[in-house]
Amino acid sequence: MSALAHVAGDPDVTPAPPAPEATKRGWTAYLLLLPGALWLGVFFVLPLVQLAAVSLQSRYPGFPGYYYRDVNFQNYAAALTDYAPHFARSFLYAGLATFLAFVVAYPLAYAMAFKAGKWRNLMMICVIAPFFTSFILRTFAWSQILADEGWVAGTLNFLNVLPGGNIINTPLAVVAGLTYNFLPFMVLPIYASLERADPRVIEAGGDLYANGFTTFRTVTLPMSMPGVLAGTLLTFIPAAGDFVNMELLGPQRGKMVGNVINDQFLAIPGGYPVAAALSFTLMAAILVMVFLYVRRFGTEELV
Amino acid sequence: MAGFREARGDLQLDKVTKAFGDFTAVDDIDLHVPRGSFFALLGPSGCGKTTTLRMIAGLEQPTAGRVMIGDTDLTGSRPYERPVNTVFQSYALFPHLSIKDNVAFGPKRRKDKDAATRTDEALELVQMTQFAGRKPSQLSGGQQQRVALARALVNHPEVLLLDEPLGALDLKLRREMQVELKRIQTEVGLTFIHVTHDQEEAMTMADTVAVMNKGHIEQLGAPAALYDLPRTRFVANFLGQANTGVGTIKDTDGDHLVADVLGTPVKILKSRSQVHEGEVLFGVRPEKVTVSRSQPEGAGNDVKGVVRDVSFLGVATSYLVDMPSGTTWSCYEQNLDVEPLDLRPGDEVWLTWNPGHAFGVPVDDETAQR
Ligand SMILES: Nc1ncnc2c1ncn2[C@@H]1O[C@H](COP(=O)(O)OP(=O)(O)OP(=O)(O)O)[C@@H](O)[C@H]1O
Ligand SMILES: [Mg+2]
Repeated sequence: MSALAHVAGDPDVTPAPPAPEATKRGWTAYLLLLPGALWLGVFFVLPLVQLAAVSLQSRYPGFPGYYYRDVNFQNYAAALTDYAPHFARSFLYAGLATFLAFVVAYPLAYAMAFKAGKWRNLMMICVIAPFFTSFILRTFAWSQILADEGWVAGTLNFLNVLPGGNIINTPLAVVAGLTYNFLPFMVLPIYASLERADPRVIEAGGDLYANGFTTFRTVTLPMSMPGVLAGTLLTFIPAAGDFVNMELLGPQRGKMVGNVINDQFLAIPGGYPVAAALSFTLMAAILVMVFLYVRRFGTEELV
Repeated sequence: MAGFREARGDLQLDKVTKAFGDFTAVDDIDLHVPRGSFFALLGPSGCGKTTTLRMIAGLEQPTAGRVMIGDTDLTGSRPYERPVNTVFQSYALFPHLSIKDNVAFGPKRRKDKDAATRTDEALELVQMTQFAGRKPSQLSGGQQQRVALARALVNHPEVLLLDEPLGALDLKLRREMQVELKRIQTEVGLTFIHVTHDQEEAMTMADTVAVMNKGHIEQLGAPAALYDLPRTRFVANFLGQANTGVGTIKDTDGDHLVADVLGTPVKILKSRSQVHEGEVLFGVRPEKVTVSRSQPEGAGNDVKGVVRDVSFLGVATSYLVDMPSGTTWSCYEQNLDVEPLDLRPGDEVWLTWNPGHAFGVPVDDETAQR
């Protein structure tokens, strides 16, 4: 509540000194910020405060679905002890998917930036095309592609290289789905940073005695690091919180944190406080990881 | 593979052609640059200078012809295999590396044991030591250019290609760098191929100057020779100033051709004219022309004109004179007489020059070259 009041109150404050040029320009900036700030205030900050309040509530014993306002950290304890394996799985699968997406995306983005020529636009459309249909529908399609009767499992089984005999309802299917669904978020930033690189700079590597691979390792790759950083974040963060892929492609047992939150909110009576606590914990964990990651690999001087 | 990098000797371009689609950027160039010489490539924008350098560096493969250093044929070899380094026109510094690491890049790749000392020396040379820790984006254009220079020089390549390496520097720094470059070139005995738009730079620094136009070399020679006796209209106009006029060759007089220019006979030494009959474009450099108020005695060429503009330059006074043919000539009066000519715009004057200073070239460049 206070957040809204604060944001809405800002423009009513009258500027104290009669404005010289600089102050005037300062106010324009605030005015431009206003719509965004209002939006964030109403649809992000308020729900977040609400969620924080819920995560601290306690249940009425014997009345499932009823809570009272409280400062109960028990919910967080439950989130961390009961659901630690789910957190671990979320980060493991998201990490694997991010790695796989990187492995697939980098050569693709490289080819688009340097080798595609007139095919470049077509390739770009192919990368973006999946966005024209819904995420859920595409994941459903994958559940058929990976089904036991599908040709992928069929072929692998025929070749006897599939240990369990099926792909669908295994973690493998989940990682594959995550990789597929977030691939464009990896390709596009990497492509953008490669495309922006001056070809003369890459040639300079060759001119200074670096062969093709060394030039890639010492010049091209470092120059595309901002794109790699953005791509990995854009893939890992949503993948870690995702529940759709696990729901549609994954096994019955061994869910991810997103599924638990989903179930606690929608399926389990009285699950709200724990779900809220799980959400907050997930958010905090991701924030810490991202912070450490950017600290380690971020190259903020790079233009 | 190691063979290419050990190539030593004169640089030789053998009928080198580069076509982009149906556009020929470099057209059948033959070039011989003796080892250890300073070779300047001069020419208007888009004439193919950068493309020529890129073929020597291996960044572009010629459509036809060969690139050789000494007896080694480099055609088809990769850039990193060649003992050639480039100072790129756009600098092309590595944006993610510090200035020091930029310069150390080449020596490190070659596993040079003295990489660190060499890098420091190179930075010292271009006066960039204090910026060693910065990134290229934190430098001014001229500073970046100096780093680009150091990054190539540090390798002491057999051939160093410089694509307008001093273009972004102010006059003072530019002169300093010119002296430094020349010193390094003579001390280490490297072959320099220097592309520049600055004629003075080309003339003062180079042993040999080549004037390029539309993908081919118009003329090549020592700077003084090129200035004194251009062989095409393009070279005459591109290198320094030239007073020119068109005449028709009517007669000979001993060693001289006599051309008729709007009724006035003009003499040109036969040995200094590229055409010996029909139309000729004759030219004479401004400093070779003498101005006087009355028709001078003697066997020289003389033409009457009208002063259009006078500018006092201190050591000399410069005149622009409208000629009967409609062109404007430029000439100087050395300010050494006690009583100067004191010409005013509108005064009639006589311009004279020694026939030995005039040159004759074909009127139409296209027919002359092919
Ligand atoms: N990759 C390319 N594809 C097509 N045309 C090209 C290519 N590179 C150069 N050209 C053309 O070849 C011609 C010569 O280019 P080049 O860069 O060698 O000129 P330059 O003499 O270095 O000019 P400047 O003095 O402006 O640098 C130009 O007309 C240019 O448009
Ligand atoms: Mg150029």
